[in-house]
Amino acid sequence: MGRKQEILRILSAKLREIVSRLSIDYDKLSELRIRIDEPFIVVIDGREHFVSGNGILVDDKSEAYIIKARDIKETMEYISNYSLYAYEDEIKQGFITVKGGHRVGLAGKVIMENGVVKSIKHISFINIRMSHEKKGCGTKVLPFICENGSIYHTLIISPPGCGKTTLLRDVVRLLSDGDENRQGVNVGVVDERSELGASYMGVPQNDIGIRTDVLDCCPKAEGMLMLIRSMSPVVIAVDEIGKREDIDAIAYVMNCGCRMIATVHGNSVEDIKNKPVLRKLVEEKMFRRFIVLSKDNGPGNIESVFDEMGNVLWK
Amino acid sequence: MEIVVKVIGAVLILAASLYLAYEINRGLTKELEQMKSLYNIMLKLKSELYYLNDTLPECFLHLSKMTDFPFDKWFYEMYESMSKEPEETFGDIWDRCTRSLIDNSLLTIADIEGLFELKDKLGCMDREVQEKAIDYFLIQVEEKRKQLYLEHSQKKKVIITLCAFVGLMTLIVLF
Repeated sequence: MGRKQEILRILSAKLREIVSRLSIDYDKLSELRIRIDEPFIVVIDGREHFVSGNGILVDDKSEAYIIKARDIKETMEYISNYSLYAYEDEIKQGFITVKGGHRVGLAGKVIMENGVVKSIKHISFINIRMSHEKKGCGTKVLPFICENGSIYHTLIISPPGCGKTTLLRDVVRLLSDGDENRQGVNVGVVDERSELGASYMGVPQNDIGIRTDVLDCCPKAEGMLMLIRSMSPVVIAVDEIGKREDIDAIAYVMNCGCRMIATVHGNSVEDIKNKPVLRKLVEEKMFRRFIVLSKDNGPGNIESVFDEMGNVLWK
Repeated sequence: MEIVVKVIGAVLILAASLYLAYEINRGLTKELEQMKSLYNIMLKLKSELYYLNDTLPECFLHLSKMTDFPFDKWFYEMYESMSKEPEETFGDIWDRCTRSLIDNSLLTIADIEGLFELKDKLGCMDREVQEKAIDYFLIQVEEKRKQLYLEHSQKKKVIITLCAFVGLMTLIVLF
């Protein structure tokens, strides 16, 4: 099923009719914004466009198709396979992953219970984010992660939206698949927010390698220990570490002899040192490689690679 | 010889009228059996939703394999409609397939009118609403079944009496 079909099948009849008329490159389509009583918006190649009822991209919002409550209700039915109750946990987190690995963000009235989010009702805002795999983006950093047959504990540091998850996904794929010079290894992925594998009904929709096991929607700290106990991974990969229990679990993983590849929000190694919870990772030299990303030349730009001593390996 | 033919004719007329009564009563009994099956099926659906946390299409596929005609057809039709490219909302699919269930079964709209109300509740996000809607429907089915049982018991007696009477009247007229 192509990207176009994957998107069309989750849209309401009216929106499907509109989107199917759009003459656009679906590989460049990144978002569809559906907000009740507001114009229908698509983001193509980083640029926002309004969409008219005839399926034409327009700049004037008065010509745009206005989303109706029925569009939202119908779209939600198709997204959830007519079974919203079965996605209760995902809805609590604010998103549902659909076939193809596309992520559907949801907003509406939040229901709280004992201080935690219980659910979202009256869903009125839907953001469909197209999944974008960038195969090969990890090739550049792989020589720094694998050297002389060994894999180093690696931390990818990046501000939001700079492609750290995309890079981690590709590194996982490369380590798992291997190549003519390097044997592939078992990789365990704890995919707490379903961003790496984008699993749909337990099946990863993104290519994360032939030797990769995924624990989907599982808390990172618990998942890392589960993987060690059950799947004997050589490498464990996690996205967006930050809690104290994550750091403790990482230390345990490293002590077990597994290699760790993780990502974290931050601008630089110094920035990580200044965060009380994460400081330990740098000061105790738990990680041997630090890959810093920046947005300077667009998302996915690798700014520099450091070793544990702070030596610049690449800039 | 003439007497023998008359006796055979009389026996056949009486047998035919009693068979007619039996057939009509069988239909009534079957309607009650189908109500009982529907009750059990809805209990199964409830457990599929709660303990397996399956989506509705998955539940309907399982149930189509676990039930007999006409319910297997009903569930499979819904599963099929929900599995292809979506064209209808759940409410539309449920309505359409339930009407076809009525056509294929001995159940009447009056027997299962509560089933139509489930269309807004089965796929909803709130499990409590879903659970209560199914429970309410189960109560309705049980009540309807009790009511039908009483009605049918009386009807059955009337049908037997009427059929026997018609048979006897026919005999009197003929002889």
